[in-house]
Amino acid sequence: MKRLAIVLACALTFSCLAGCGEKDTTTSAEPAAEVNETNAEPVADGNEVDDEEPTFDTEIEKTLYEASKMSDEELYEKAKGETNKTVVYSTTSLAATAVETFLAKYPDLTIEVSDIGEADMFTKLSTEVGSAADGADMALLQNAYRVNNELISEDLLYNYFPEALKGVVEEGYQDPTAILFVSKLIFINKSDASVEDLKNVWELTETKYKDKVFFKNPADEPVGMNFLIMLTSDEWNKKLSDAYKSYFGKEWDNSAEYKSCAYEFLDKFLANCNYTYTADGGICGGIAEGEPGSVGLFVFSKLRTNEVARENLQIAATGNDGKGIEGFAGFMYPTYAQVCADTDTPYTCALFINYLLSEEGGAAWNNEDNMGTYLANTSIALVPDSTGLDKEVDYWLDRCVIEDGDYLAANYAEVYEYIASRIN
Amino acid sequence: MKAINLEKIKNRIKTYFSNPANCMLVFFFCVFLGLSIYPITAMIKEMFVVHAGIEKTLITAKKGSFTLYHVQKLFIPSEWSVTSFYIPFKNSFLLGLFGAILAIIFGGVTAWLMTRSNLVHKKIIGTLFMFPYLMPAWTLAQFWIYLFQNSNVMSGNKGIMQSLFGICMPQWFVYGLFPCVIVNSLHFAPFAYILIGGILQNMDATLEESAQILKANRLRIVRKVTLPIVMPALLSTFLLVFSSGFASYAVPVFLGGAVRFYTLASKMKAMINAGYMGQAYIIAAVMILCGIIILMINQKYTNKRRSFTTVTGKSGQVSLVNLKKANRPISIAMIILTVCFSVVPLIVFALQTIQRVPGDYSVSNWTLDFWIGKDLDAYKMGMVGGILVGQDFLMALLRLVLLSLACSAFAGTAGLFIGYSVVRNRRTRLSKMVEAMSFFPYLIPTIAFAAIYLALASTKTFSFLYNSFALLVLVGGVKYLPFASRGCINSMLQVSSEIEEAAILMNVPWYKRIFRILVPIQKTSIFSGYLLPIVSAMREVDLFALIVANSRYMLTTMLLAFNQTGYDQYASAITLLIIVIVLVINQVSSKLTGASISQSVGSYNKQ
Repeated sequence: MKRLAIVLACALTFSCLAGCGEKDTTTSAEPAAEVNETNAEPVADGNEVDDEEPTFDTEIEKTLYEASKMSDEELYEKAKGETNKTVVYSTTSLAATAVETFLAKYPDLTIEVSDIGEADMFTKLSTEVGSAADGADMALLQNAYRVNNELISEDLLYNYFPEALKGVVEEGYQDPTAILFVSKLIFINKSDASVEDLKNVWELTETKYKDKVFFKNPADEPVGMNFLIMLTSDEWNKKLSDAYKSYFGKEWDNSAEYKSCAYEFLDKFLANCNYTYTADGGICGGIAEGEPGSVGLFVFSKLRTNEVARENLQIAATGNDGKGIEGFAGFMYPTYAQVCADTDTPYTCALFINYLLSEEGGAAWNNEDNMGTYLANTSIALVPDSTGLDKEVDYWLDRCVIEDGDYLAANYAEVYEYIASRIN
Repeated sequence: MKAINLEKIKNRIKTYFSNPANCMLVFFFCVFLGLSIYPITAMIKEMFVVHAGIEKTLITAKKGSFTLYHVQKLFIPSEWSVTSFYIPFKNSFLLGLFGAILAIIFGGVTAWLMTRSNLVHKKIIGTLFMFPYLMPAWTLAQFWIYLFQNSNVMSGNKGIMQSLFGICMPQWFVYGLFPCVIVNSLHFAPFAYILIGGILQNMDATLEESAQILKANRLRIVRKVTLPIVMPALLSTFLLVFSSGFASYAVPVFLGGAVRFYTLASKMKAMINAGYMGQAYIIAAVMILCGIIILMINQKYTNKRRSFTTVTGKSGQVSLVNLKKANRPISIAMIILTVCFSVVPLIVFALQTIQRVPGDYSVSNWTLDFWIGKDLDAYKMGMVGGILVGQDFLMALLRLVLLSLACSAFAGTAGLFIGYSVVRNRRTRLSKMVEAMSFFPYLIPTIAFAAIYLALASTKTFSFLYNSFALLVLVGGVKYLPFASRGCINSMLQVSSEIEEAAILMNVPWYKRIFRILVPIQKTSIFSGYLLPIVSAMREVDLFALIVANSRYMLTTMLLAFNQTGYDQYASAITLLIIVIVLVINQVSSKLTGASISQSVGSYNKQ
């Protein structure tokens, strides 16, 4: 039974990755890694199992596979033999703190972090990995769609996930390895008591919210675009249909001009969006100081440093007498840790990823001075922030739209053009 | 017979290369050929291949395979092409057109008042009028928002005009094409002022006086005498400002984003963000093509003007128009206007840096923590307090200053040799080609330029440059080379070849002729050629953002990171510092060497 389950899981994973919309014959590193890992499972009865040794396209893949089975001590010993400096490109600036504590724990290693903007990250990695340039060894980056479709599928990045945490971190976040999630939530300015709580996301499609929903232009912020595309998935389309019924008191009319309920929502929601602010800090400060009833969608962490925002803004997820807003309360996106295909320090990279997934390494984000960032290793309890506003990751995962790399891969192009025509 | 011919050719080549100016010309021709051909071929290739990601999904072909998809998608009329190309193209065109017209009106009127009238307080007006050109255009855009945002439009936040005077301007005034045009024209008005002012100053005053004697009224004189004389300069200014406005990126992002006003440059960036690389490169190519057309028109008109000016000659006397009773009111109005767009933005940026909560101007909200505080919340940027006490900041500042100086040394010195070799070989085909090619980097959109050089540095031959300071210098130096080479060509044109010929008779080597004779004679204008690259590099963000190894590497890339993460106070503090540093550099160089930005810019039109 166990063997059958393993074989089925293997087949399912492979077919899932193979069906990501790629019609060419480029071989992805991912399926190979899955097959190898599965083959390596200890099985009681070896007769029906493929006894072949795992095969790898490159030495780095093999090393990472072996590294995934090692303890931290073993990895440290191996990493000591890597004489070159490990360079980590990161879109999250707190990686510098993690590197600092990592080096305190493993003083014999050399590792440094470079802050790189999200858009530049893809240009840099796709240019330098595999070229003669001496660039990154690993990257902490976001945007599931581009990570999967531009870097992983092109064998520019390899996944590494420690065997020891396979039962701990949710399977969906093991490949590619997610280390943390960031939340962007819906807020409403309630500085005037007469402003009602948000009860349903369909309210945001009403004409009274015209130009009052502040959101970073998704054309400039890919994770925002991914969130909008995810709304068209079956899961979120269903939630939007339910919210529609609850708000309008009738079923969504599928004979209408829209392909689905989510498409109608996107059309009307985007018509009300206001892209005045180009940064989340601006949206937070702007709506906190602005007109009562203004709505914003921005990173939760901005509330921590803005006292006026904490006073004037209500988190839509916790309003409405604790029932929250129906539909969705915001969105979340993972930050992935990936190893560059041409790294010469794979063991250090593996050890650093292990560290980021540990309580000690995660403390760079999971501390009382931070909020709105959650570790992918959910076995580590959330450290309450000083404002007391934050909640455990599961609370937000239930209410927020989260990126799904497979869905994005299959549907990105079509929905992107639909959205792009409405934000221009 | 054959041997004699070969000997003849050999001698000709030997004679040709015995002239250092010819050697330099051939050298720069080869360098520019590489610098032009590499980006062009790289861009053309990107326009017709499938890239990883969304393009591969849409086209269902292998990465790197040939495709016409991008061209068809972008140009064949459809909802996509209208929103992604035709509307942004129209917006860019209108922004360039109206921006140039207004810049000429602002700059031209000021130039006339400053050169042809007896206006009082000329010195202060002249100095302040240059400020908007020294400030990055996007700082003016930010200032416009701070000034005019109000509770009736978009964000609903109060701006200075509403807070102080209760004035609420309509949405079209605060966001969209109109403010983009105004801000661009304010930024380029000094450019027009210098170019037109230069012509007016050198214009033969007797022409106007003759018209006056013939009893023509003032308006008729301006219409029938003054305007025709400055028309080529107006056209030249118009085309250069149009070109800059057409390629404008930062101003439309700040002032257009709210009302979905996209230009070609902002659309190109959005395409790159989404992974539509092929279409992004096509937009870049369209912008380059437009730039080349504008450059050709410009050269045609500047050539015409040259002969016109030669006929007219230079007047030794300039009669100033007496403004009579209007003098003081005009002067005060000019001072108020220039202060509004030069000093007030600095004050506003300074105020932003001392607000604990952005937007709250009350004194109780003031703090110096963002400058000198020691325990602040900027840990996310790897800083622990005010920018003046953070080592990261000081290092980033030092690197920016060093880079600006290095880019200037690179561009200025190369420009000097280009100027020398082009002028000494004037009217040869090679000289004309080198002169035109030296302007090419100016036409390539900054983001595409950076991406192309990043790719170049990742090749085996140039991999030693990757993530290095030298790459930043190379990219900055090449990008700003047009400023320096134009300036040096013009300054060399003013030196008679007889001076050098005398030195040649005395057997003075070429490098001594350049550094002991030509450079000392034209040191002010040559130094001005070094100054513009310094100022440009000091305020450049997009060019270096992709190439630096770390966003905290330089002050300007740090500023971009602060803007993206919403640390407004830090961003304003850095902006203010950059502006102040640029102003100080300009003033100091003006005092020490007589060189200034106005001379650098003015040299564009002195051919």
